[in-house]
Amino acid sequence: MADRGRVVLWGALAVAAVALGLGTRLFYDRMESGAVGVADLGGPFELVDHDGEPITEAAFEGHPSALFFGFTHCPEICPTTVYEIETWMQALGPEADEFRAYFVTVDPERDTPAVLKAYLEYQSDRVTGISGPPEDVLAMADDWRVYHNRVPLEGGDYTMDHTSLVYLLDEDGAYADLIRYGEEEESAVAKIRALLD
Amino acid sequence: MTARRLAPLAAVAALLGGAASAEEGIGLDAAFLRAAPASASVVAGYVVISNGGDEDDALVGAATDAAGRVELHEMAMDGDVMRMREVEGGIPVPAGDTVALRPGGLHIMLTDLTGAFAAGETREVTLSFASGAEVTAPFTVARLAEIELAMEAAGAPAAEGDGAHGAGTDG
Repeated sequence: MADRGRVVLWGALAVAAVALGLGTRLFYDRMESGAVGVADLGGPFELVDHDGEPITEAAFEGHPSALFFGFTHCPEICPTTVYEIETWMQALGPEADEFRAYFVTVDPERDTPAVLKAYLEYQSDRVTGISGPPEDVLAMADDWRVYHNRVPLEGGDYTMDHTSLVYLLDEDGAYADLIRYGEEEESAVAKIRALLD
Repeated sequence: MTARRLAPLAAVAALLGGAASAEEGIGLDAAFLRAAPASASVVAGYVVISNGGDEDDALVGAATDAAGRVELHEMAMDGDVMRMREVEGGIPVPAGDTVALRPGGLHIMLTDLTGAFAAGETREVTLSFASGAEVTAPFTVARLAEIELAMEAAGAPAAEGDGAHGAGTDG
């Protein structure tokens, strides 16, 4: 029966989603305890920035960076994270001139470069959006072990569950530290400052 | 920055000319929408709801001319993963209690927006309750920092789910 097949399919999807979520959790727990090498995080990519210009992992070199993943149909955590990055940069003052921030969409189908540009520029002139062909953008998220899952909403709309961490990259573009959502400003700024020294 | 004490319900009801006795007791404070450009696809709204009546109630819906659709949402952190869901069955507002829709937890989400939401403007939003009460109030469009301050000033209970951030919002 078609209905039965559907139930089985949804069941399998649910199990897969839970497994992926647990895997992500485990990964971060182990990463924090030093059991996972962070050398595996990230990788080469060829995408498009919010001005429509090509961007690759080379953009992360020569200065420390903040890297996070979100989407523009996100009413809460994504604008708050942009807001907090802007706050950290203001706290750093002129020191922040050496620091860059990147917002990679986990919803590349809706978040074209133009959409990202309008969304980000309203909130900060210091965050660069990254989008591109959906497959390639999501491959980058996977390279950074970022969980992303499309969740249907009523009326055919959808939202995205996603990892809320802000990664801090050193001047070689390699993972150096992370800032959790809701982390105190002092702590976040200290982590960034450590990379600027 | 002082929290805006919204008009008592009696005044609101009088204004609307739709005084229903079930409405008595519901009060709104610190009603805000988050500032957003015309290009925005979603906007979050926050409000502190108090139930001074003797009957438990629940927020079950919201509507505004400023958006084609309004949903009741809860953001929750699952480890470091952010999950957002529609609230099923409404947001309980027990008798004598105060519930805060504030950054980091419960919020109303406006979609199909009809224009920009510039800081300092207001939009009328109507909240519907399980008791049948409908309360319309002006929601002030503001930036996050101002919303956080106003929530503190209003003595809003901390957001559930530990999504709280900023000074003093943790339980």
